[in-house]
Amino acid sequence: MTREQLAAAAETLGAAADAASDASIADGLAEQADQFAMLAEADRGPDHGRLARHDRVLSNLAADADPETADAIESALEDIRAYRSTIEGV
Amino acid sequence: MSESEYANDVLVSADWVEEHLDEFQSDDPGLRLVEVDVDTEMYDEAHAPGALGFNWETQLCDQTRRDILDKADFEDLLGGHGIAPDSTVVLYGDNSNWFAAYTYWQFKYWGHDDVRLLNGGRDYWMDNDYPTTDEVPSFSAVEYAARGPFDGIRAYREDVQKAIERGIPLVDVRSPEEFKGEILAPPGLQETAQRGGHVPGARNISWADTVQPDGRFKTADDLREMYESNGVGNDQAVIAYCRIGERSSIAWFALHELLGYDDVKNYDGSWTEWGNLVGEPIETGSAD
Repeated sequence: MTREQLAAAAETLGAAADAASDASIADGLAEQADQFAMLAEADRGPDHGRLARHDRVLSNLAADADPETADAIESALEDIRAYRSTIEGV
Repeated sequence: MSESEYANDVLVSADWVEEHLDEFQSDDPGLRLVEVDVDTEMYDEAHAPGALGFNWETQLCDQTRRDILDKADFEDLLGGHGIAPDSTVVLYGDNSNWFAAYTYWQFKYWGHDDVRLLNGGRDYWMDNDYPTTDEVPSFSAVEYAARGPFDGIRAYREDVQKAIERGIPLVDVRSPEEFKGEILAPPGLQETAQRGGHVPGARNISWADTVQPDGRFKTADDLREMYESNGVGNDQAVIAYCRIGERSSIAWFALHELLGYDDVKNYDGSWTEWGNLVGEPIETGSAD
């Protein structure tokens, strides 16, 4: 079962990585895109702790990115947070 | 034991745990491995061989008061699972070790001497294809007498009130959105407060900045630089808090155990207490 919101985040991050002018940010986004592509298809979805780590990594990348890349990261974060709102936690 | 660059030998690698799996599966209480989860279905599906499974909500919290276990319940839990006072206990779990770290802190509160965290938690173990099983171990019960409580590592609301008055650093480890008061809890998490914001004077240093992208802790140098650059050094007391005390247990572990800061307390009441208190001040917006 594909987790559509995580798959969408992976696609957005992959495109942002391809378009990013800063090499280190591009590498970081490509790594995150790969991670979310894997999480979208994994037998068991990620938990809150894992998603919180990704959220922080992406937020830190957005803080250093150009405005267009930052907007793309924010769009991916919206999908990730929408997915996160569907999983159980305390 | 393995990750020895830190002030205390309290962090073990997945490789080290794998090398000792036979001992973790032995009835000899010398080594015990415990997975601490909120979602215990994950433990039921697969866990490290020899690992006991503790449910944070039902086994590590008092079931009538909002509190950690009392001494008798803590002793019953450990002794009943074959954990002796001199056992070396390695904890790991779901949610990036949040609840394993909380359990570690609770073990220290009750005076268990030799407890460690598996670096990277359950995610790292599973992502890197270490051995798993669905067999639940059963160990002979032993006597367990706790030495605690050791209240020096626990902050209560009165400690937070004093910290505000005295300018003692409060480390709020939640997300920037929670800290600013834009949201009451991360998406999907249930326990919240009447108000959003943070304790006056707190600094926002995310728990997630203590770990690398794969969930293992950053180096001691990186941790020290992060905290000191945010005005949190080992020259004064520190109180860490979050929403329910689990994420702040990660920061407490990093500061007190990995960096060896002398006086660090975890405020387990955290925002779900402070944000609901009548008559206490809060702040909203960024720390700047």
